[in-house]
Amino acid sequence: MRPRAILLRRRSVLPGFGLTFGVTILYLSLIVLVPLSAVFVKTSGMEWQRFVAAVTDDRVMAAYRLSFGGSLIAAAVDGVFGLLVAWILVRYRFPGRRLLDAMVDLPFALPTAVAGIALSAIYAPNGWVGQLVAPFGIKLAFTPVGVVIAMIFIGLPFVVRTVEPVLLDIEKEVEEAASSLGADRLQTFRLVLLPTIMPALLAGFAMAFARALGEYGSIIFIAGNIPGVSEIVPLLIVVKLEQYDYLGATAIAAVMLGASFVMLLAINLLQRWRRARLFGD
Amino acid sequence: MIDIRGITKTFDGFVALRDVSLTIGEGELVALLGPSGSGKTTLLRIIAGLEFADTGEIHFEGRDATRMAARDRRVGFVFQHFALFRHMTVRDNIAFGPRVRGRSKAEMDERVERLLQMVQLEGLGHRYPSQLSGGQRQRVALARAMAIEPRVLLLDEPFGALDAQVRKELRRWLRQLHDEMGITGIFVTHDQEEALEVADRVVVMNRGAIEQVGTPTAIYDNPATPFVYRFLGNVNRLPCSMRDGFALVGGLRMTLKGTGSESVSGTEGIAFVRPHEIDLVAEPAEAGVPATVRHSVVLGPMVRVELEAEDEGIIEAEISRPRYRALGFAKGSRVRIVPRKAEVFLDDGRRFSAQVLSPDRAPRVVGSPQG
Repeated sequence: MRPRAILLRRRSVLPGFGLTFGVTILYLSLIVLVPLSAVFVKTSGMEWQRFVAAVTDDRVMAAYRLSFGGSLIAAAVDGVFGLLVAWILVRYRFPGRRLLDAMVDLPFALPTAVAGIALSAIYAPNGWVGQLVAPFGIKLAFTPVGVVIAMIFIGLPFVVRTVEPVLLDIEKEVEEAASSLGADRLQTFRLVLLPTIMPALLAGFAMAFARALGEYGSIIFIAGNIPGVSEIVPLLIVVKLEQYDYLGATAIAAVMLGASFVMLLAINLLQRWRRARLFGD
Repeated sequence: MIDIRGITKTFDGFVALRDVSLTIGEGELVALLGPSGSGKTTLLRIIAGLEFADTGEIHFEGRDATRMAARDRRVGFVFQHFALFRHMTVRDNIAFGPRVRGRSKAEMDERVERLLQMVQLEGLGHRYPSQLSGGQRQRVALARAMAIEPRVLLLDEPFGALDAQVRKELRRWLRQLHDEMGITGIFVTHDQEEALEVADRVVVMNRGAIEQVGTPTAIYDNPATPFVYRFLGNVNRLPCSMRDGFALVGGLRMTLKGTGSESVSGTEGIAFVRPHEIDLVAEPAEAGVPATVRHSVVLGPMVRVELEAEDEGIIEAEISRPRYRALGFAKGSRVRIVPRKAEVFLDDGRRFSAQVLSPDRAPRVVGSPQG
């Protein structure tokens, strides 16, 4: 009787698996897979040489450099300052902590166009920050620097929110143990804390990078969009579309799609590595 | 040698330690015993340098270490929840201390190997803490603390997070380890059995102060205060009053011993009686505290009888099985509680041992205390 009862229960544990699985697949197909595969179907209509020419054009190459290079720099800056912000939020109790905590999420919540206008207003040569550096001949807005600033802005919450739970998780005792074993503060941070938060930090870095790579709205206002200088890939796709160069646009889109996929894969592998490291499964 | 002098520590107005002084000798294994909130863990953390005293001093081997940082104290600390480095293997955990102290690779390897052997974890050096059982983690934590060759090993509730079986094993093993290595050790516990079984000397703490220091036998047989009496094992409290060198417990006359006991008269006090020092007699009897049998449990050769006395609440008595059978009690039987021995703590702070003289004769009986 007993095994039978268990069997019945096991079957009832996941009621309607077939139904939910079917709906999930259908939903994913309609919303994600079909539009994305359309990109590849459309580009597959291109001859290989035309495709290569379209995606390696000088202007396109310059856009890749800006988008990938800028995203990398922005994600790295976010990694450092995101860790710092998360550390402060977790470790210290100070007036205005909740306000700071809420402000971290602003780049998530703000319409990107609003962020773009705000950023360009501040960093433009006549803006608050822009006019401070303008006398030294430094231009922030309408240059690649402006692009990176916008990328840093939108990527910060990803790092903070991924690192925060891991920092919260670290017991005070672990640091005390390190110190009673003879480690100074720097050794404790380098040998104990950093390795513990590293996987989360890397995951946050990867997400900030992916976000910066795909960002459009907040960047185009501050970028100035000078072809070959401060033009990002997503903008280039829009430009191509406006010129009715659908094939050129989708070819670049296919490259970006491939890049995004690799990024997500990397993030997932990082997460798995982290779990395996800490929980041994 | 560790010399603790007049340590006081407060947390936001809460006094965790109040003028605590204690000397711990070379090679001693000392237990800090007390209920939660008694300050025992705070004292341990102050010795480790994880907390600093408001006033008072700590000396290691005659040198003032009061303001010394934890990492310079050469103190091995074993945390209640182990606090292992989760991202490091067992080997790296143990090697951490020698590593940050700049020892050579060869020396480190040699020491790790020796310690793995000592804690009986040979062959598990490559594992991560998450792949070990609770008992194994505890031993890794111990090996890690031992790796810095500490002058003293401090253990905070070392067996608290383990289940009963493992706990017992580790306890015996720790005692054995201490005997072999001869290291000075201080451990914190709230379990009196653990303290009495493992330690050379027990420090009983209550509300931030030391109540008594002594060997396990001395503490158990001669509790200095009512608190120690209560905290170490089961004990019953019976109110009594003094008259002409006698304590009257429920009409029973117990002789007080000790200097000045003859003149004690007119004060009230509490008689502490261990369950095995109680005898029960059936009603009608001439003396003893009247009570009703509520429950009885057979524990090997003894029977533990739970009684309800009218004013004193629940009283526990342990009597032999033949005696219990002879009495023929059942639930609800009316009986009298007759203590053979008691420790009497007077309301004015004085303290005497009391016993019924010539226990083979029937207890002598007097009238009511007022009469």
